[in-house]
Amino acid sequence: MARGYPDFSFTGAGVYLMPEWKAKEGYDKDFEAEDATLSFGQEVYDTYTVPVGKTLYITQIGFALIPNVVANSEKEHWCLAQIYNPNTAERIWIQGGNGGGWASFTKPIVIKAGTTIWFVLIAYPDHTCTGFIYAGGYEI
Amino acid sequence: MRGIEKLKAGDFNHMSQVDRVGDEVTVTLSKRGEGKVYRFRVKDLYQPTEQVLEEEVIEV
Repeated sequence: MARGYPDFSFTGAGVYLMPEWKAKEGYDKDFEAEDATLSFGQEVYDTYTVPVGKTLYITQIGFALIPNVVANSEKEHWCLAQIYNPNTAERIWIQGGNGGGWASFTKPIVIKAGTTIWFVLIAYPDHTCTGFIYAGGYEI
Repeated sequence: MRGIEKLKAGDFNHMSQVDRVGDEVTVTLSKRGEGKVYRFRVKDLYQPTEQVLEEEVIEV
């Protein structure tokens, strides 16, 4: 039987939510897209195909739509954000907003290997805007 | 590894797609700790006619 005091040291221990831990391990993924020429019905999107053997987990998404000229700054900027599969025409997630929005998924949206997805924002103002779409998560 | 290869392998932490004009888009990839940014302009991304029009690797 071993006797004596164990000789080890550590700086501390912590508890992490899975997305936070995946970020620490380097599996985190961020996607963004921008387009400064959006007219009514036009879209900005980021497209990605999940590699073979991997699964993508989306944990948050954000979007913004802003006017290009100050004269339109007091107008409304309605827009529609989606996570969309262009090959199957499936809307995986959808949310509208005036000027933008944000969603955090306590249960991540799961995108399987080989699936192509768009993180897309569609603009609906009657004036030209700049649109941003962002999505984050991790891939293992 | 080229930028388009890193994209297909999922070997990145951050991706940006901007300046989409028709079927062309500029993609920027970075991976934490690698010290490089991969930027390339691609036509018909993920399509059978996909073609990288220009590319560069930026040391950061």
